[in-house]
Amino acid sequence: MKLRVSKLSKVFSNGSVEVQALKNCSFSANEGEQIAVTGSSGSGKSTLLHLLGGLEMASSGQIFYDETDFTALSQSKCDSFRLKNIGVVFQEFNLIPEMTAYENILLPLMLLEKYPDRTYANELIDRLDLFERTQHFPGQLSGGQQQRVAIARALVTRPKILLCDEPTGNLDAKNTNNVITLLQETAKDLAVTLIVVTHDKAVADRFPRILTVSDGIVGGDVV
Amino acid sequence: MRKYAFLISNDIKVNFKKRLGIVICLSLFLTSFLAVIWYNDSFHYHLGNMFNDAYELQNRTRISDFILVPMTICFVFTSVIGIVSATVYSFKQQEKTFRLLRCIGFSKRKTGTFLIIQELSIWLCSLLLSVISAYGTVQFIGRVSGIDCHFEVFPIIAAALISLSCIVITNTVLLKKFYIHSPLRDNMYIPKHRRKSVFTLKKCWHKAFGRKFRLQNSISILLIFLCTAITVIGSFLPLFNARGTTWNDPDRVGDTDYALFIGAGNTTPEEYFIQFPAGQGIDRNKADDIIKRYGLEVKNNEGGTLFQPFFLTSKKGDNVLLKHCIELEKNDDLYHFSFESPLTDKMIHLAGGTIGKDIIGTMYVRWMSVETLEDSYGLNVDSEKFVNGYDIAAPDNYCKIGDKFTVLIPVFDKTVTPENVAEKLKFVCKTITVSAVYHSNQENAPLIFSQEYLFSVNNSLNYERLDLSVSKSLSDKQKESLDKELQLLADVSPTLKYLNYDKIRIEFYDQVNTQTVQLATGTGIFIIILLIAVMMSAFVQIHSNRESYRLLHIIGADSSTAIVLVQSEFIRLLKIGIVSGTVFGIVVDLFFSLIGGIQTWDIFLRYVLPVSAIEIVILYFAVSLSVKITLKKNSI
Repeated sequence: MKLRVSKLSKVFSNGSVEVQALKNCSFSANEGEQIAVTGSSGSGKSTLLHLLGGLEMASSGQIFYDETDFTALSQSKCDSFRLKNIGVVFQEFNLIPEMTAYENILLPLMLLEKYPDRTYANELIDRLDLFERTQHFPGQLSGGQQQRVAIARALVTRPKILLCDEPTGNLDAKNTNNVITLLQETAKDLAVTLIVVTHDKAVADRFPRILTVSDGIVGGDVV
Repeated sequence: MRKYAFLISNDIKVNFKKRLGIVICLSLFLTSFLAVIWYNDSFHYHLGNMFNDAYELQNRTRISDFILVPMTICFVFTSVIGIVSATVYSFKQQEKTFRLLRCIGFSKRKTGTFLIIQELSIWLCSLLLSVISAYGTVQFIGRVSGIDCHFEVFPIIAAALISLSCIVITNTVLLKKFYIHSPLRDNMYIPKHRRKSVFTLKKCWHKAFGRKFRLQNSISILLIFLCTAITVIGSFLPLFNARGTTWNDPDRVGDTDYALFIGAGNTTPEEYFIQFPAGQGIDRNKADDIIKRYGLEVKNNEGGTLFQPFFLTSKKGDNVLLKHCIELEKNDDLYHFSFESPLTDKMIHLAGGTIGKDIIGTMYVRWMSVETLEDSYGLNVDSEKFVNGYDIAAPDNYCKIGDKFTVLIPVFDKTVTPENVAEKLKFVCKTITVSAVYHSNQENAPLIFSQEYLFSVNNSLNYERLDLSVSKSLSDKQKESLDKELQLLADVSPTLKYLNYDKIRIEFYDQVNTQTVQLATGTGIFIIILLIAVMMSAFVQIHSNRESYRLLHIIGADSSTAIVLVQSEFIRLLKIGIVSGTVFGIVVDLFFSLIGGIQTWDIFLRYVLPVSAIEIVILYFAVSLSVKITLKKNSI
């Protein structure tokens, strides 16, 4: 799925205080492309990812997925689009602690009101080396295992875009390496457009294309 | 102290809404606790005044106790669980703060003191609020239902002590659990038991959160259960309460519209063992005339309930009747039974009998018309022989068909008085045959004689009881005139009583309706309180689970998914509560039907079923609505 961002801006307002997190960002990404978004803390890179995922509404500008104007969709249509086309992975894993790893992975399929096709889910679980851990609860898993569960959950609906917000922020060097390799290989195999937000230069350097965000302005390989 | 004051004031500033929620939650449960006790107390008192009769009051209070006391206990129990739940919720909200306080150096004791000061202030506010709201609620119920609701101090003390104990114990237990782990420990919830994964959203959600929220769920189920049970029982109670135990209950007299009967004060010259109803009762000629003119149907007429004949029966052989009489006398169950006294000797002489050879006794006798015998006992007798006094019907436990006795029936006219009875009294001496038997286990079941025969030998004998019903439609004016004539018939003697069931029936249902309105008002208000409590329970659950809904939203669920999930969870609770409450209510109702010995299917069909159906629909929509409102307020 091709991504095109045009003059995207986001202003947070709290009473009389206004903060412009993103200013007129424009860039595009081709199908299957792998991009790292870097920048210092508070530069606006996470905000950019949230806007791309429809987790926050843009103040102005447009996001196009193929021909679909994502910013023009209503909240419920935006949610539905995300469920079907976008996978999101977070630094904090965001797994539901009361559900088993397997249930967490299959949750998006349950939301699609489909009886989960477990063959593909099992393939993912196998690929992510989680086979022994499916019946465990998140609290019983290590950080790396939880992040792999989160990745499996993001990929189980066969999304076209995978958005990752600091996916290695809570992991050690070994796990960081594993997770990034896994993300890149899986994205390549499944032809998924991968956008990873990271402040870790070593991680960013592993991506063929790097966008930098500074004070809400996107730079780097924007074209 | 300064640091606590700082912490608490800071907490109030930052978490004002959350603390207010806890105060409202606690005061709601305490309100229901207090209001139900005050209302119950006042209702009993009111019931006592409503039926100002010792026997009736005793009966009704007993029945009301059976229902209202357990229900009050249920309310108190639910309130206690609610208080515990609110305390747990309050603690969970602050757990992170306690963790941080412990990390920066607060000792266990200091953390505990901070918590207790905070909880005590919440408790005090809630108690004050609940006393005011409970008093207001009960006064409102009183105004609407006409019950003078009174204020008692004891329930306030009880509510205060119970709630305080709940709060202190719950916090102590939670603190102890909290202290077991390091303050740095990750707060992630780990279920205690492993379980298999489930792959449909609603089932998965229920499996995941059912156990976690079992306290809140139990409260919701209990509240819904109480709502339903109270409604089912409440719709049954007024009619049942007013029925069956009272002499003017129209349901007991079937379709009888008017009744005349001898109430008390008959003349009995005891030395002859004859109850002597000469000149008493309802004038037969006048009564028959009224019956004919107004086309009334005679449901029952009795002319000899006070009138006992004597039996002569042989001492020899296997005499079952004699044996039975001797047995009854031993147990003091046989009245006016005497062996070989000078007075009975005189009577036997009058009747032409011989003492020593024969024995005299009086049995319990009913005088009945041949039609009534056929209708009431389903017995077929030879009408002519029965009407002429040759045949009788008897119970099968001491008579069989073909048994023969000699019977002495006293005969008198209008000139007979207690003073001249010895000279004027005569007897008809007759051999009678048992021609039909009916099944009975009662020791003093009656022998049944022909009333027509009694009236034929005693012309002056009047009706002692007359039950009439209107067989053709009468105008109000005709009814008024009939009422006057029957009243005049009764006015001739102070011992005669007259009842107009037609009027009583209207008064009876007025009374039932009044009681129904009173109960319905009280129940309705409690249901509203309970629904608010269910809403609070939903609020606690939704608020505690906000993070999970947020995660669902991140994945791609829209807000309607959260609504569907919470609603389906509450509808599941609703189903359990409604089914169990209805079953419980019906079992209680059936229990009272059985111990009351009253046919109550009509109450079920006319009152319980429709009221329950309406209540279930209202509950269903009210709970769904309260969940929706709570979800909207929480803006998931």
